[in-house]
Amino acid sequence: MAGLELLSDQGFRIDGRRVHELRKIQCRLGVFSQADGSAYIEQGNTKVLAAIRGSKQKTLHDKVLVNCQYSMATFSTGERKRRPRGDRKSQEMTMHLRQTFDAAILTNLYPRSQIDIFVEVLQSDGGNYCASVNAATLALIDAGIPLKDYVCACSASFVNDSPIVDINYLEESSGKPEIIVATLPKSEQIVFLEMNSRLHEDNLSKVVDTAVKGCKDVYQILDTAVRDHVSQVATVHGWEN
Amino acid sequence: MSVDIRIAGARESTKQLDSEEISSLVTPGDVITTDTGFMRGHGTYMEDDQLKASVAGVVERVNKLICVKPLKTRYNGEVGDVVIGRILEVGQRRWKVDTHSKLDSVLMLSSVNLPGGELILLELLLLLDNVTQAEVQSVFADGSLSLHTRSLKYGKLGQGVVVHLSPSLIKRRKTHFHSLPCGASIILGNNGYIWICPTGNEMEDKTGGYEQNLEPVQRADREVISRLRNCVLALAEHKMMLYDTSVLYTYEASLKFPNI
Amino acid sequence: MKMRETPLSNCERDFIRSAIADKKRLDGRQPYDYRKIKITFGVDRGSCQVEIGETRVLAQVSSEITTPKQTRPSDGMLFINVELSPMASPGFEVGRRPDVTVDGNEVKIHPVEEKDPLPLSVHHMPICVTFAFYEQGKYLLVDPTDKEEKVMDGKMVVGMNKHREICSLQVTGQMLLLKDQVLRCSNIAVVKVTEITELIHNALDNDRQARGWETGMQYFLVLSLLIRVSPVNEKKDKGVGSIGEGGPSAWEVDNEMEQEVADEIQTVNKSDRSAEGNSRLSGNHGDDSEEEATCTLSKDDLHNPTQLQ
Repeated sequence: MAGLELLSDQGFRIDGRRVHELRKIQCRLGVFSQADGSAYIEQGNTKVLAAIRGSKQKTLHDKVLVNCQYSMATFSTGERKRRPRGDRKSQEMTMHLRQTFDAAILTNLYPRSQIDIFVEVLQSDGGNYCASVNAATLALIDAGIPLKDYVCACSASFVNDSPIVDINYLEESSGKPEIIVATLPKSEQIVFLEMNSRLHEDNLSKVVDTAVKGCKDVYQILDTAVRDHVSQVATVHGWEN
Repeated sequence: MSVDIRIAGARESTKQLDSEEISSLVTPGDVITTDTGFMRGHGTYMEDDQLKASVAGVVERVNKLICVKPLKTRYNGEVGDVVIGRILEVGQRRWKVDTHSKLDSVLMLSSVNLPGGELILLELLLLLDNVTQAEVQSVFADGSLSLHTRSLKYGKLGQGVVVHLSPSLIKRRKTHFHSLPCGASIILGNNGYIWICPTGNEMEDKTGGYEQNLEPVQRADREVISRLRNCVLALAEHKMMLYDTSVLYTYEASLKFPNI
Repeated sequence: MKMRETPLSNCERDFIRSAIADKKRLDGRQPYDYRKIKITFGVDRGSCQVEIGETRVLAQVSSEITTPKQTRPSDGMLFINVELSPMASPGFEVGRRPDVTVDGNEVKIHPVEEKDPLPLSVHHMPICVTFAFYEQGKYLLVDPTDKEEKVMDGKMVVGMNKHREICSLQVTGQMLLLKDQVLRCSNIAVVKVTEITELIHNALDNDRQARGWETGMQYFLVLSLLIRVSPVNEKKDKGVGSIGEGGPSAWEVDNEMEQEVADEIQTVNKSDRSAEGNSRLSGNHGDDSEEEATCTLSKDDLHNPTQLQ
């Protein structure tokens, strides 16, 4: 991918963002009425739907079993995707999501039941894991499932000696290092971390910092959305007391 | 299932009249108090001597107990609640009932008022998918509910419609059975399930519903029931609390639109 | 299908955990010690066996000429097959390809007798270091054994080369870490990687001398496979509760996930032809899973400075 300038001399990225700028995030809670909780998020051109369903018997006796299903719509990528789920990448993603939320949900509060998290990527433009985590967090909050904290995920890369945050598909496929972090933003605890491609150890700290900062920014946006949603409904409920 | 997706930006702002933020609103991970004198209730957890919220909702304080009430949740049963349930499984001595709680509820054979004191085969009483009305007898340690239908008020429900709503929309009242003047009866189950049926059916004859009346329901009654159902759904759509008066008022208001 | 692993008994589990809390390990190592590594090369080129403690991995490289992908005519292809027991360990290979001269449209492949085989060009050699975390990151072990992995909360795998470049990094498991802990691990990894790289170079030197090839001719190439076995879900920490009672998952996909194997490929190939790495790994813990992965090497994966721009 030589010739593609990921970061211009003026400090702009391919899509016109600066290094520390996230893509535009728009989200909505409670998009389905049948599911226990649901959410929809757009991070730039990556669009993800998440839904939560609960309650099934005969599972773990002392805590809830968190189950995930990650799938990508066949129309979500540039070329038609053959299998929406079950391929290697989806399976890996499913496992990562399950581990992420297993650590964040207060699992001991729901013995003998199961929480199913369904994530559907409707359009993919990089950062699928991040958008999926953020959408699933919103859906869990919508469903009223107890969480330690929000789980926010953000990606980062390292181009021309400067870390860039929330990378899109072009930046992802440029062969530059990609680091994906999911954190509990308030305590800055890392729930999930993955990196590929080469990055010098000295820069690791910088890039992780950038990604964690990105997670905090994402948190601000999500929190605002949740507060809007809750206060809107609570006002009509007449819960102010 | 209808999916409603719109680009958030293109959506009109549906801000309510005074949607200024409620002061006691918390989201997961928010610190509610660092004072250790409080008791931890639902929707909260302790970490590093701080009481934190685990769900998004409104903080409620009862003396020393702090809870966070989430907007939407599965039904958390309390003893004495009236619930509507659907039979999921017929066992040897008990039924499993879906009451929209986290775990399936249990209705023991011993907690059922048997018609005439005779022992009848369980299958004859409540079949799979039958709708039943019951009261919460006790709550097990894991949060699952034990139900009873010991009063003749409770029991199998015959002909009518069930509406599934969020439990938080049902206002707690002394009575949850209402025979509305419009010719239909409504049972507002605490678990968010609502039953609408023609008046004068099993509610009056006090047999516990085991003698079924399978006569066809009159067209006029059916129209009333459908209208009531739509009224209930309309209230729920706008997140209005449901109780006899609100339903009745909505019903009366809806009469202006005879063709709906 | 994979058989369910025998779970550790509660007392064994408690014993290991309490030993770790006392900074002791079952095999007498210090928390940050690596196990003994032994590298032996086979008689044939491209075969190597590595032993790390009780973990044994055999790797074999073979190559053949194939048609390159139409979309990337100047790139070769690399395939890696992994058959493994549920253990994580790095394997190393020595492989070489026959020399090829391209003359116009004619492609001639010299047999080994005619011309010395050329080594594959690998520009760097990533080494994998595994860290296991206990008690929410309070205790840290380097290179955990099978049993230690069974009782851990989560693990972190760092792939790094001797230039201190991180090639892959993954944190998995049900635990919460702080950034400092991640950085500390990467610092430890630097030390371990330097040691292991040294070891491999020594082994390769010995092998070269043993084979009696002229010195000064760079004829072999190391292809390093990093095989990570993702942690099985049931290994989650359940405190003093019983272990191994992970509920059956509702989706069959998840069953397969448990033996998901991630392959990392960091290697290189000269243009216009294909090399096929084919490695077979067998461990002494019974062959109970079999996975295959295919990967296409693209030009972007080549970090050979001469080929980038």
